[in-house]
Amino acid sequence: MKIGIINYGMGNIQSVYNAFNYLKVEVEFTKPEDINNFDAVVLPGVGAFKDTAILLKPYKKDILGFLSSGKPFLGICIGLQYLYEKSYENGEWNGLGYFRGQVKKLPEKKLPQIGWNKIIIQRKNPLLRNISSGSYVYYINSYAANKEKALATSLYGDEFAAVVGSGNVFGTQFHPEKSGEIGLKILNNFVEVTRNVCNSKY
Amino acid sequence: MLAKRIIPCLDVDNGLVMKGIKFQKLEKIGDPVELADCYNKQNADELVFLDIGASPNKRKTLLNVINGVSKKVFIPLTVGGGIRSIKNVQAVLSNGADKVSINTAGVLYPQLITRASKKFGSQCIVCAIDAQRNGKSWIVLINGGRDRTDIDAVQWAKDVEKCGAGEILLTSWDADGTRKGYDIELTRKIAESVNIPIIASGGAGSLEDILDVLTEGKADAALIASLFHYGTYTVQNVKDFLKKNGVDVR
Repeated sequence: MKIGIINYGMGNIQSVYNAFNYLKVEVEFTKPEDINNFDAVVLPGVGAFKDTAILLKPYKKDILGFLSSGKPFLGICIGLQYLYEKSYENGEWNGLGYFRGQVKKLPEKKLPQIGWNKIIIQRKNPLLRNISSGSYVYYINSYAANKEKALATSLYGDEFAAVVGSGNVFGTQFHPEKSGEIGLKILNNFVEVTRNVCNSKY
Repeated sequence: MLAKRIIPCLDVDNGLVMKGIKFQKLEKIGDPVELADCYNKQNADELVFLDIGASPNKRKTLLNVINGVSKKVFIPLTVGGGIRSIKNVQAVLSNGADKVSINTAGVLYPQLITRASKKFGSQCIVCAIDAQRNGKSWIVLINGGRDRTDIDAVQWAKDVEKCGAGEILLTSWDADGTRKGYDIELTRKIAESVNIPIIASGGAGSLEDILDVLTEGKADAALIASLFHYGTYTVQNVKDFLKKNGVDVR
């Protein structure tokens, strides 16, 4: 089993790598066009939506192909937002449109939201196995996706999507790789989902 | 809503954690990677590493330290001290830091704050302000508290927000290391003047001091060094006390 982290020239992706490494999972950085070589893929995201949209635009087909393959996928922060149709961060930018909905600025005076906020679990899901509602996770964001259909939500100015998921495609608005024990548990749940998918093939 | 953060501060010189009083009289505390791991286990919300001996050679040692910590500890790490260029910011971030704290160079060249926050995002640019009481106001100190400027600290806080800083790490020079309490008036004044989070630093001597700066002082986070380094309290002790007094903590 091998997990790939998409490296598209943005932000601090080393910490995502370190976290999987700490969980003793084989993990590698990958170019967006090579993701099919992996059993699961993580799309990390630090920075602005625009940069992700521009850098990943040539690979939209590759990523959408991966998402429909049934292999597990985890988008983190901008990586979650990119699964949606559109973001209004500094203009209007198209995402993958895998999930319906839009990414909008949080209605709160103090932005970015920097710090630990509670997640409220809305639906049971293997990604959130053994995670209790009210657990704190680490956020750094000014924009977020709408709460409809989210697996978990958080409140900052308004309720927004904290965790999303459909089949084996997941996203977390917070940074699990920076959310201490809880974050490592969520990443480990993602590893378990991947392990189950791999095992069911044989 | 966001929990108030408790952030242990590790002043690192030549690969060792040190602690001083009013930025001087340094004492050795211990190994930074071990201490970071220990504070993480005590439920710290973030860690701040300040390179207090920032020369190029020692900088390399600090980068190694950050690299080591980021493989073991999965909470946000901030690094500051001697950050003078975009290249410095890049080096710190690529070695595992999540945020970079800019102080002196930001005062001398505010464009550094603007450029760094444009390039890496506001969320990872922290502006450190060392403030010294000057009658009824406060002035900004630079070069590790050695040099005075004529810049008003409250005005400077507003300016760094405009330049794109995502957070302010506010240290009261007068209170630092005294254990006589934070400068509540200064912290509150700055917290009310900007819309970015304030990390209060300097002077924590008791659990009440920490409670005061997070409530009356309106700080979003409290930076603590001596109280933790000398084992007076653990991070969890502080959080239990805050929770008992109605403050949201993780």
